[in-house]
Amino acid sequence: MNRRKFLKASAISAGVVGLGGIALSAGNNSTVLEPPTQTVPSTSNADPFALQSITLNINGQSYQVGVEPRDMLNNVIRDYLGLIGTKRPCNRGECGGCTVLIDDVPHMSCTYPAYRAVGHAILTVEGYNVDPVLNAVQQAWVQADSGQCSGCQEGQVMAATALLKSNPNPSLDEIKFAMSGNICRCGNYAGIIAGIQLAAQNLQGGSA
Amino acid sequence: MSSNNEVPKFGLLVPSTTEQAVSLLTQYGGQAKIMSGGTDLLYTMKNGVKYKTPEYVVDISGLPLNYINYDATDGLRIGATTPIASIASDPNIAQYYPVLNQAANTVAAPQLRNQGTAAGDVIQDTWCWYLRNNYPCWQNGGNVCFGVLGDNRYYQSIFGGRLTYAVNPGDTPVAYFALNADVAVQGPGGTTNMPISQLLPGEAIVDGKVKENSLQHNEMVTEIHVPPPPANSKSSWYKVRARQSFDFALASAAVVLTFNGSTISHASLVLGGVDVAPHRATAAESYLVGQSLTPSTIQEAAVKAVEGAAPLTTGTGNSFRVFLTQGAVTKALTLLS
Ligand SMILES: Cc1cc2nc3c(=O)[nH]c(=O)nc-3n(C[C@H](O)[C@H](O)[C@H](O)COP(=O)(O)OP(=O)(O)OC[C@H]3O[C@@H](n4cnc5c(N)ncnc54)[C@H](O)[C@@H]3O)c2cc1C
Ligand code: FES
Ligand code: FES
Repeated sequence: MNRRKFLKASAISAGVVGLGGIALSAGNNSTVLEPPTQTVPSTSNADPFALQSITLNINGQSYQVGVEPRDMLNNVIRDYLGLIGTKRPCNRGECGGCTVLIDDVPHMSCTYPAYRAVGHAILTVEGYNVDPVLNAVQQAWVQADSGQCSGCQEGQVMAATALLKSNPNPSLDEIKFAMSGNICRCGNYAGIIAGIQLAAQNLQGGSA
Repeated sequence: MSSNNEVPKFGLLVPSTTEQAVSLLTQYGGQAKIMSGGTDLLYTMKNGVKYKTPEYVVDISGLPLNYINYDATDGLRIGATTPIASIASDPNIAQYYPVLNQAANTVAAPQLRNQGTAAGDVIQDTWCWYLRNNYPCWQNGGNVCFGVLGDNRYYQSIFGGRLTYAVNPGDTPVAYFALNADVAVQGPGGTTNMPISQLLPGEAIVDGKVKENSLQHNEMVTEIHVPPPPANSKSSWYKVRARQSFDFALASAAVVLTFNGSTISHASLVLGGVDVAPHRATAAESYLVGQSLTPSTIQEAAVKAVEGAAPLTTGTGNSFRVFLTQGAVTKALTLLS
């Protein structure tokens, strides 16, 4: 059993997320985040390989979790915290399937060091109840039948959400440009574009 | 060949000044490497590329090097950790340096532009599949270029090479070459300014390692400086890629032309994705001076741009990219006509 599988298994069975013997709760009781002093936690006199306990703000909730420097945000979200909506199709920044929003800006979570996310607001596909734009995109996705096999769709939904947050009424070219980092192996791009246009329309009409 | 999909264990070092970054690099010798955005470094580390995977990472993303300053007399200054997305959306760059604006907008994917940085796009390793998959090539401790022998369609030079034939992959560096940019490099002895062509010579042997850039292990790029655009100049960019959404250049062209009326008085034409460094097309540049842009002068310039091309005939061969290069030049010049 490798490290990740072990962690996943232990997280499911015990309801807590642990790493290297440190048990940390993935709590529902949000604690207020300290404002970040810098993006990267200082390690000046610490062991540079050491596990750090960090607090992540994901979908408006705070999670405490132990991470090594080499842990990517994607591993932490999926494997340690069990939020498996965020996918990891390529793990190399090549597909966009792992897209999450960090302070509303889309990032590939497979290639984003987890420790850097401290003090930032992370939004994943599970965050529909805290984010009205994400919610509208998901509704429109169902209405417009935007998903096919859906291997890429969590990432598409997040990239679309980022677009509509910064540009509520995008043109077709703007949609294609903003979505160009998200590859759909089924080639269902027409459905994806239709979903975004519908979400934009619903949000403008206030009917989301 | 190790590829277990996880980033191997590394020690994280977080400097609070550039001086501290340099001293950490010095202290850890060749064992430490800079991480800026991390989009390239983490990829090579996941693939376990032996000569590119450090034991310690000096994360410079928190340093105050995220800035773009434009001044009509001084020109443009871009801090090393400025996201590519900021370069792509900066209004002054769009107005005064269209070639850089356009090139930055074709770098990778939106998500990667949000994370990848100005210096990272310049210093990134080649995306040759052999290197990326940890083959023991010249850049990875061996003494062969697998690209020459094997599949050289996408990532190998059409202008020859010495040891390594892998192309420089960055888009913005091509624009920087065309704009005669220089870079500030900080090392233990202070800061040196050098033309970007000196930073990216195509092939450099540093500490016994074959590399594409000339940086010592304890040097870092802190700033990219672009001189003010010449009066009456125009610039453009065209990138040919296998897929429209996002992909590396099969060929690209960055052009800066200065006009006297409709006559070209100075030409800067640099090709990307086709040589071990951005490739200055000198024959085309001298041809263009004194001409005006017409379909026939553009065609002639495109032919001259690939003068000296020596596409590979071993392995798969890559002569098709000679034609794509001519196409990129034709398109970039046509945008200015
Ligand atoms: C799927 C994919 C597609 C891509 N497509 C394109 C494309 O079409 N066009 C293109 O141009 N690029 C492309 N890229 C490359 C991408 O642009 C680079 O990965 C990115 O620009 C690197 O920036 P970074 O800040 O993330 O660099 P990092 O990964 O942090 O660093 C890259 C390298 O530069 C060194 N480095 C970084 N900053 C400094 C510094 N200040 N001084 C000295 N050394 C430094 C690091 O040590 C490392 O070796 C693509 C990448 C991926 C993953
Ligand atoms: S899994 Fe992150 S981009 Fe494909
Ligand atoms: S829906 Fe199948 S990959 Fe996009």
